[in-house]
Parts: sequence; C-alpha cells; structure tokens
Amino acid sequence: MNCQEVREQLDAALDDQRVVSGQTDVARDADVVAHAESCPDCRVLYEEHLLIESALAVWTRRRPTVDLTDRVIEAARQEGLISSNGSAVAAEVGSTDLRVGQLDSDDSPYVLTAAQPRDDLLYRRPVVVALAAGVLILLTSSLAFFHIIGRDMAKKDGQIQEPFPDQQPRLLDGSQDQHADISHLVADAQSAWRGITSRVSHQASGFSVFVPDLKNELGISDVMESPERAPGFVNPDNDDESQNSTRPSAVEKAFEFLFDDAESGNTRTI
Amino acid sequence: MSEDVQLVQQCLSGDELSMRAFLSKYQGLVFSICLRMLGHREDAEDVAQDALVRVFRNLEKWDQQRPIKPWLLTIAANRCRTALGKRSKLPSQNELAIDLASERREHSKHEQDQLDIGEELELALGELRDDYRTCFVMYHQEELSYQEIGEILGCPQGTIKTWLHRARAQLAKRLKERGVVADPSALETT
Repeated sequence: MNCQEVREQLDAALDDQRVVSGQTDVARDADVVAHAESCPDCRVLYEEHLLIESALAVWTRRRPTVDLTDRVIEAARQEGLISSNGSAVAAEVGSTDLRVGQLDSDDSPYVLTAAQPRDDLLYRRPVVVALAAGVLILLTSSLAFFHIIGRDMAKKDGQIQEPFPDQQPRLLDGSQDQHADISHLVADAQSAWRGITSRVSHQASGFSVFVPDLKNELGISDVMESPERAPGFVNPDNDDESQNSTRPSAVEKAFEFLFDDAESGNTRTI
Repeated sequence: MSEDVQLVQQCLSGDELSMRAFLSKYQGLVFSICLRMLGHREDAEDVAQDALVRVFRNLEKWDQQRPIKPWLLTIAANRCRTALGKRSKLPSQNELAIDLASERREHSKHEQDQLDIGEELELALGELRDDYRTCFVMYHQEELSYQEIGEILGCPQGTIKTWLHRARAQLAKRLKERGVVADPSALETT
C-alpha cells in the first residue's frame, strides 16, 4: 500500500461512515496501520484521522438546546397562521406514525376523528377576509361622510330647505318605497350642488370687486356677480332684504337644471 | 404517507398542537445551524424564530416528495446570510465555542473523559472559517449529503467536498496544537 492509497482510504472512511460512534474500519486496517508506522508523513495523517474520529464520536451526540416554541407560536398567531379552533385538537403520537385529529363535537369528546384538510379560502386566509371587510367599511364610511358634508354645506349657506320636512329621517330600509328613497338621494345631491355653486359664485364675485374695469372692458355683465345678487343669498351683515337681488348668476345659470323653482319654492324630485 | 407529510398537513390547517409538535421536532435543527452560522446565541434565537415562522408561512411550497430537513436548513441558512449582511461586527466564535462547551459539560458530567476532546473540537470549530464550519456541521452533525449541502449553501458538490476536507484537516491540526491526543484504546472500547 502506498501513501496515496492510505490518504484516499482515510478520507473515504470519514466520508462514508461519518463516524458517529467510534472507530472506522480503516483505523483497524492492518495494511494502513503498517504503512503509517513505516511512513512519517502518513503517520501524521493517521494520527489526525484518529483524533478527528474520537472527537466526532463525542461531539456529534448533542445539539445546542433551545426552546423557541412559545415565541414562534405567538408570532405565527399574530400572522393568522393558527386557526381559532386549533385548541380543540388532540394529538396522539404512535410508535410508527403521528395521528392528529380534531375532536368531533357530535361524538364523545374523547373520540378522535380523522383530521380533514381545510382548503377553503375563508378558513386559510383570514387576512383576506379582514381586508375585504376593511374595504367595505371604508367605502360605506366615505359615502356616508360625503352625504353628510354635502347636506351640511347646503344648510349652512341657507340654500336648502328640507325636501320632505314632514317625514322622519330617511333610512334606506326595506319598508320604504324605493322610488321615494331615490328621490331623497337626488334631492340631497341637488342641495349639495346648490351649496357648492353658491360658494363658487360668492368667491367669483369677490374677485370681480378688484377688476371692475376689466369687467366693463370685456363687456361682462353676468359673470362674477357680487354675492349679494345670488338668489337666496342673505348677507349676515345687512338686514335689508331689498338688496338681495333675484338676478341669476352665471354659475346659477349653468346649473339651472339643478335648482328649485324659485317662485314656487318647491323642490324638484324625480 | 410519511410522518412529516402528515404533520405538515396538520400544520397547514392551522392546528396549534401540530405546529408545536413540528417545532419540538425541528427547532433544534434550525437553531443549531443558525448558531453555527451567526456565532451569537441571542442573534441565533431571533433568526431561528424568524426562519421557523417563514417555514410555517411557506409550508405549502415544500415538495413532499423530498426530505424536509434540507428545505428547512435552506430557509435557515438564507435568513442567517441576510442577518450576517446586516450585521456590522461579528462576535468572537470562541465565545460561542466556550458557551457550547460549558453547556455540554453541564449536561453530561458523567461523560467527562470523553467530553474533554469534544470540548476541544468545539473550540477548534470556533476558529474555522464560517463556510468550513457550516459545511462540517451539516455533514457530520446533521448528516446531510454533499448534494444537499451544496443546494443549501449554493455551491457545487466539489466545493463542499474540498471545504469538508480542509475543515477536518484544520481541526485535527488545531487539536494537536492544543495537545489533544487520540487514545486508540478508548476508541476500541466505544
């Protein structure tokens, strides 16, 4: 046996047998031992081989200990990876297989039934359900918010009269007439538009105060009317109602189709 | 159906007890690799926890035709590499080696004679290059094949073989430098 063969055998011995509990066959091989005793280089390798063997025989017996179970379970629970009824599961560990079943509420509480994989989306993806619910709530809240804001704005400007003052606050439930519900919504939208257009008109009129010459030069008469000329406008600083002109503004003309019949005072409904 | 496949299916259904059983079986493996790669116990615990949560999150992606151990170690190794990339300063590997050696001494005082050389190996491991050490642990402790280690560490099998050979040679050299001598008679009695 030559040096190369001895080295190959020593390497292969550790590779093949992994030395989990003791001496490899090569360490007892008479040819290897005889060569190692006669060759100084190979004797060094042989001694190193024995050293690693004996160290591995002890070292490989244990991993470092740790218990991360509670930390991981808590993190998994926060991510929604654990089902809410997971606590109702019992485990039975056999000698050859692991059986884990869910308690059947219809039977004895101590009877294990075969656990069924739950593939439905709602069960396995609670995050999806939560997101969908969140979007729905957000949408509903937004609609309610804009609905209320529109009404408040119109009321604040004195441009709205309750379309149905003799009725109770409107709730779209199944007991009311669907046609009336739609009319209510349209009336509310009209009121909101009136408030908005009134404000726009007011701002535009304020701008015209600073450019009267330009207005005259361009021959603009209706555009940028003063706020006092807006229909229904009440100047909080002046009690003289005679100044509240009934002359329509340009903005009002543009949204004429949305406005009430000024003379009759009736609110249009569909 | 293998035990692992059955256990994983139960975990996929969100069963807490099954997840605890899974952790009881595999957390030591994941933590061991994290500790070897990071060399710091607290960091290794954090990264192992992160890796195990990722395991549960991605259990359905595990190919049930293949063993689960290399898949788990791949996730753990990836998390460790990410953690190492974020870390600016590595703690001394000797600290880890001393911790592990003292832990072993506490657990097995009756094996004191054999633990001496085991502790010396632990200390010597702490002085190895990171990739040599990880490779050595995966091969000799976790008993993975060259191919599996190569897939986990993203290296060819030839590289893994070379690293392992060098790791053993350096360990033996350091054991000798520390005056550790193998006792053939002790080997024969094991």
